[in-house]
Amino acid sequence: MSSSHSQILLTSSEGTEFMIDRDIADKSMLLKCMLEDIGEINQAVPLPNVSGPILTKVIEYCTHHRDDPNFQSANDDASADIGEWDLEYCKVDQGTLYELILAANYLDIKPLLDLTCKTVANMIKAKSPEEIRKTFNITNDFTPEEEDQVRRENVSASKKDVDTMEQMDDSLELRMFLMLDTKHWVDED
Amino acid sequence: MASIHEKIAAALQHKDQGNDAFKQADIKKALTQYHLAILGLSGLDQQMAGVPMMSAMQPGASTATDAQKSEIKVQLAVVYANMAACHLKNGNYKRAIEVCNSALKQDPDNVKAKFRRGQAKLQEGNLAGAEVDFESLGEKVPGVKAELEKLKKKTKEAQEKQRKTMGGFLSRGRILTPEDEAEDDRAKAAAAAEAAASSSSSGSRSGAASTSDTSADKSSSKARRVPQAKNVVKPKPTAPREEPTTWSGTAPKIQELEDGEE
Repeated sequence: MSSSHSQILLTSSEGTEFMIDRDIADKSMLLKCMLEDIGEINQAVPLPNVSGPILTKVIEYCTHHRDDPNFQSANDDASADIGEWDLEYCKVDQGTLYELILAANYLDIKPLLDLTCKTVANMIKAKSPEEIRKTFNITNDFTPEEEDQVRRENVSASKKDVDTMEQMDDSLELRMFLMLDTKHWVDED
Repeated sequence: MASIHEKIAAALQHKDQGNDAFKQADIKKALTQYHLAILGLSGLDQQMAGVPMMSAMQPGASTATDAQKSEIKVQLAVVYANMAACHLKNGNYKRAIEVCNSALKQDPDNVKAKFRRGQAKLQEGNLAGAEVDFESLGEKVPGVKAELEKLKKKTKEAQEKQRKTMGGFLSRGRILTPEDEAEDDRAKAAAAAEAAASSSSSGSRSGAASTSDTSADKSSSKARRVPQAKNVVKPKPTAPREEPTTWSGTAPKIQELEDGEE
């Protein structure tokens, strides 16, 4: 199992085993901290909250970016374009994308979390509220009066929202929520 | 796939094993078990059911109930705080602070995490940060009073030291009087005492004691060093107070806290 010192054995939620190199594991801050704390690990590392297919995708991402010199700060610039490989990588169904976000958050792989969140943001960008509802299967729970009011409020609130989002701490839920909560949604068109 | 309930139970088993290992002073094993507990617990409460799009993206996702979510958060904080105890024992204060921060992110009311973060900051020399943590806990929390006293002593030492350096700087080129010499000696003695205090538990007390002993001898043999003797004796009353700084002093307290949570 630990025949090579530089390899780590991971087990997904269904018990599928993945042997990965130490430098790949180090892309995940969760695993990196663990390995640093306890040194050699002579057992498999269970990841009960990641499924095999998703873990495969995550490892694919980390392997592709294994030699990136500034991996941890790669996607810091929120407005930067997504690279070609990354763009291709994110061409998955919504369910997979959702699970990738969760896995990136769980394993604490910030560049992957940024990439997947940015991908979702791009799915929303320049769409009308109705289109967004359709894309994400969201039921419209506004009355017409409410919707009208929200629209009027948002014209003045739009700038504030952008500022808030930039200052936000990296709480994933908050990030997603502000991005998606329809009551805060800004109709830019 | 195991249910959320089963996953929580499995993770808590790792936590218990970690606590057992900690009690047997097997820190490495304890850390391993705590890490396994965290691998099991974190991510469970991140199903983001409250976010319209996320649940729409994955309608079939099993979501934790609110009660489970808060249990997960509280337990995560406990495990992180226990990890902090391991890091404190290993003298790894940077990591101790990190895991305390993780604990407090999950559960801002976790007393042990804040207490241990204060201890780690104190050890790292971040006296102001330590004070904030201890003050916010209040003196009712066991151990806080002792930590605050230690903190006061360290602050005083730091101020003395600064005063000395600044004094030396301002008086550069001045003719040294016997009093100045005595002051210098006293600064050295204080520094030695401080070094001894921050080193291992067994060394701290004997080191401080021997420093004051030798200076007391010197003072008795040389009459003109009387002011020095007066000064050097000062660290002496602080020596007993130093006791809690050492690990032998605080370890039982940590153990005590540990037992309360299991």
